[in-house]
Amino acid sequence: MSYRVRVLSSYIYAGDEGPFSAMGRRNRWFHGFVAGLIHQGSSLNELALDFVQLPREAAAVAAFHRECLDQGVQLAICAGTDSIVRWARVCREIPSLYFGAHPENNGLELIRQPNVAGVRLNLPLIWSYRNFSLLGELIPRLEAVYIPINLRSEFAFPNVRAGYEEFRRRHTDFWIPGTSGWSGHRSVQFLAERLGCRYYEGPFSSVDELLAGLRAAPVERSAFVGFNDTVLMEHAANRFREWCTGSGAALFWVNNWPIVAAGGVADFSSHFEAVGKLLAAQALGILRDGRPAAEIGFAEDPGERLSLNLRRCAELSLAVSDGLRARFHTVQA
Amino acid sequence: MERNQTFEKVRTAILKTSPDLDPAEVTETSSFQTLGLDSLKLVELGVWVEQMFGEGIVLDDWVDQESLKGRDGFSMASFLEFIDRSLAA
Repeated sequence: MSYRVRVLSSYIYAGDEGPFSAMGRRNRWFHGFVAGLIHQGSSLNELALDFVQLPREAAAVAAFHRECLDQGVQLAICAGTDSIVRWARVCREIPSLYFGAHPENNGLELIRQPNVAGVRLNLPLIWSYRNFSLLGELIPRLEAVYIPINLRSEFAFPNVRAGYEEFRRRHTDFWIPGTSGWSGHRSVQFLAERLGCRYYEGPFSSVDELLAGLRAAPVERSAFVGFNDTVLMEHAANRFREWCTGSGAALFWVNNWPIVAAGGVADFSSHFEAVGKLLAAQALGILRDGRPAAEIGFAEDPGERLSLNLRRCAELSLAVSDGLRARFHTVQA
Repeated sequence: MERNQTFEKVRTAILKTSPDLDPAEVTETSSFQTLGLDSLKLVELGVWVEQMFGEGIVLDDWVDQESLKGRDGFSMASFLEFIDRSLAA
């Protein structure tokens, strides 16, 4: 008999060809998950596993939840914060594991929900000054860091969204300075201040709006940083990458390691293979040992994996010393 | 490593991944498609292969290569060749 498990992801896009299209399925966390099952004396043969793109609309999520109940699904695994936030609103019965980050701890209250357990992740670039300062080491005389924020993802938490709406009511600028009272992630402003550069957030609701905002930013001595939320808007990640390639902008990403092979300068990812192994142990704890999710609880972030693209650095005339290279776990020539 | 030794290890990995397969069906001329190795099974096969041959065997690279071949992709012969090449590198 197999355990009925659904993997719910917001990152599966059948029609979005490119390095991000398979992120929900064929990626590091799942590889770690399978390795973890095998390490625990299990295998995929024990699981009846389906990957599902979690619907965006609340009513569709509720309908899907009813289907899962009817089918006797025994465990949901949510790949990322966006999917667990939407899933946990409707699901109180099915044990649900997730791995995900909560910038500024926004939305973290869901870990109190008894059927939810998993792995809490940091966002490696902005979790430490040591990592954030790599932007300044890679880009000489760095003047500004620009971070687009997808308003159509759950990462635009209600408090953050309210601040953005207030800024938009008062200003026409796309980029919100980190010094503004309406900026959403104040801690990043502190990191930027310490690094001696400016910081901007750019909330967007469509790919066109994102591109218009990017075109309004100076490329020289700037770092453009994508996060998980931009991958959540179909085509946004690819268009962002293409714009950076075409305009000579330095593109960085958090939790999107394929970006390095696709032309980004660097990626700052969590150690997703280790995350997958932790999830496998938690899943078997629920399925095989019959432990409640509340007892499984949350594992701490197991670490980070930083990747650097030397070819892109050379194209952008960014000098990379041996010491700087050594800070990255993977260096692509 | 000799080709037949590589094949025996791969056969063991495939049978661990798909224990319901008849061992006689897994031959050097098999195709992964006819063996019913879908994308999830391939991930598990990749883990077993890494355990048996070392982490230098990155199955994703082979999957990328085979995906471009259409119907001719995912043959056992190509997989064995990929492993030999990776081990030699």
